[in-house]
Amino acid sequence: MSILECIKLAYRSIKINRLRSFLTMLGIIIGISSVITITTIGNSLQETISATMNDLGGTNIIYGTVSIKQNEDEQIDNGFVYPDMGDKDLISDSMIENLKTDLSDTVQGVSVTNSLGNATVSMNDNNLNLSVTGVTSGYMKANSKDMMLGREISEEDVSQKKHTIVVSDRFVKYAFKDGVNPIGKKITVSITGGMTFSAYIVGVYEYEEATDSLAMTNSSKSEKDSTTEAMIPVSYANQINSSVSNGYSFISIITKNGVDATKASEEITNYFNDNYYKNNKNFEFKCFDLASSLSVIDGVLSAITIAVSVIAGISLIVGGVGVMNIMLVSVMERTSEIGIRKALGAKGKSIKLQFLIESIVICLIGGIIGIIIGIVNGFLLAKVATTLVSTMESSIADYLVVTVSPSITAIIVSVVFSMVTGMIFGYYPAKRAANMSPIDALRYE
Amino acid sequence: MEKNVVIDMRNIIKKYYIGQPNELQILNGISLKVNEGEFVSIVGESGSGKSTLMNIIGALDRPTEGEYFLNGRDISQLDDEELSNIRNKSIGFVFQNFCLIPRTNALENVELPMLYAGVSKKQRRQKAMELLNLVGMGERYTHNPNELSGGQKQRVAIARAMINDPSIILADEPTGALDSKTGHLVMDIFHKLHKEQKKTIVLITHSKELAKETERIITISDGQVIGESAGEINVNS
Repeated sequence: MSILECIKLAYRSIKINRLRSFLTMLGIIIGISSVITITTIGNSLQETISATMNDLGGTNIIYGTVSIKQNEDEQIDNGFVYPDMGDKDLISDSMIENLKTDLSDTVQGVSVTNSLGNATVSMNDNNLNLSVTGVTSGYMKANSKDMMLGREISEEDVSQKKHTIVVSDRFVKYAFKDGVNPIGKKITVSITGGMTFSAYIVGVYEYEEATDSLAMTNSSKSEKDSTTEAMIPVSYANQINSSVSNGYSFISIITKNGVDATKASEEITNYFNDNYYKNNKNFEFKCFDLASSLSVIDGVLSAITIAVSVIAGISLIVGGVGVMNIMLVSVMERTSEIGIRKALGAKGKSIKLQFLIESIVICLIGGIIGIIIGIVNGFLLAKVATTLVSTMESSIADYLVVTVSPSITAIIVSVVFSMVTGMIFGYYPAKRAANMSPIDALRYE
Repeated sequence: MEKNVVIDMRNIIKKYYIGQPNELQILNGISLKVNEGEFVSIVGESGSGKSTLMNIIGALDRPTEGEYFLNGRDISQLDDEELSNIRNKSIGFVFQNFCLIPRTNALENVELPMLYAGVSKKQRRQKAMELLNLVGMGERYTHNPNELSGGQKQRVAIARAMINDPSIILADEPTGALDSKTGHLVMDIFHKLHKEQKKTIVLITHSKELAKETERIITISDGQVIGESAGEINVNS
């Protein structure tokens, strides 16, 4: 008897005992569907987080800061005395240049900023709010801002301390009359606190609610009154605000593509600490990167997934015992049928195959139903989560890039696992059926 | 002219519970022969050992001692697998309680021995339909056993017994569960098979009336053959 005929026979026997077969499958269905639900949620969360992170600026950016050295003895002696940060403690331009040349395999570029704070511009009968930041080239890319007109701040602007400025389209909308080309126009900016400078507009970027760092503070204001960011060369910013020293306490390092962020962080941290902060009593250099934080979240999610999978595995074993129980009952119930088949010339192995395949088919159907329910569950939960976030935390929802993706590995493993369950728990009943004596089986009433 | 001997049993002994205090000897050295094309009945009271004898003839069981030649081959000590093959190809069973597989239609029931013999579906269908037509069940091949009367079930069972062209058809009280009218109809089929298809038929029964319808009657009692007589084969035809 061929396998195909055995499968047909098994399918028919399952169809005849529909309710009983379904109840038998239930254990398998619950086990498999919970594994698939959890892995789908875990997988989707991981993908959502990394997609969101990539959207917010990529994972190849490492933030470096100068921070207070953790010195336990001193802390106990002095309590929290916050040491002053002087020029010698900050990261200087020459340090950055050295970093770029010494770690050229890792570092693609370094972006430094120097914030001048909030400022106002009076133009076109409007008082417009800006937040002025001194930047280096590459700042726009690192912050996911798209240019609409003109160009961004260039290396030349920085090295020659050019009086250039890049503003938002929202600023342009209220600062100029319709149809006026803002490029090349000179604007005068008054920084809150007294200083005033002027600069020529060289570019306009697109203000995006979803990704702009100032969007949260603007949410309660009208479009006209909202504050948008304006960028000037960092060297020019240092000139305007001379109280800001010749260094930076915060830098963004863009790594080359394909470089492992965690390793790069370590390399850069060691570079700064070994070369510049070894003898510094109060400060050291620290790195923070999104990729490393992501890997921590990934780790937690994997641990949860494994834990739930183990529980589901136990429920699969319970389900398997259920299958075995039903198969034993089924063998008993069909004793006379087995006897007839044997009298008609069925060999022991044909009978064994028939019952084994029946048990495998039951488990496999259960497994497939479980997978489908699991995927549907995953999608529903993701939908519910998105809806909840968007109604409760609308500002965060804009950042989220929700992706639902069932784990292919989990699906394949589930199919195999349910088949193996059917095989293991179906073997004993099938063997019992095969070993029945045809006379006893024929006489059985 | 000497006919081929299909069944040749020599001094068959069957014991149960061997070596235990309640050891039981059911068959005490039975010897019998059945020739090709013969219609033989084995008659005995209940408890005479005829069911045990039938199990051994049908290769469902092995004798404790003695030799059993089926078509010239000693099959008395073959293993289970080979006995399955013998049952499949050389013996066609007709049981008192029909023994059709439930929830499986007449056609599929008839096909079953061919399925285990590994014959292709097309051939199975063709042969099974042919035989169902022969026993007058050609129009009811889609019916499940619970939708058939006793006589109809037994006719399906006879068709099933013949599908692999066995050397013998072994019928165990084939009319036992039927009323006398349908019983006669079933017996008519056996006569037809015997006359037209030259089938070798062994009928096991307790009824002397029924046994009279065969060519030769072998009477057993207490596990021994106690007599042989000629039947009145041509009564019904």
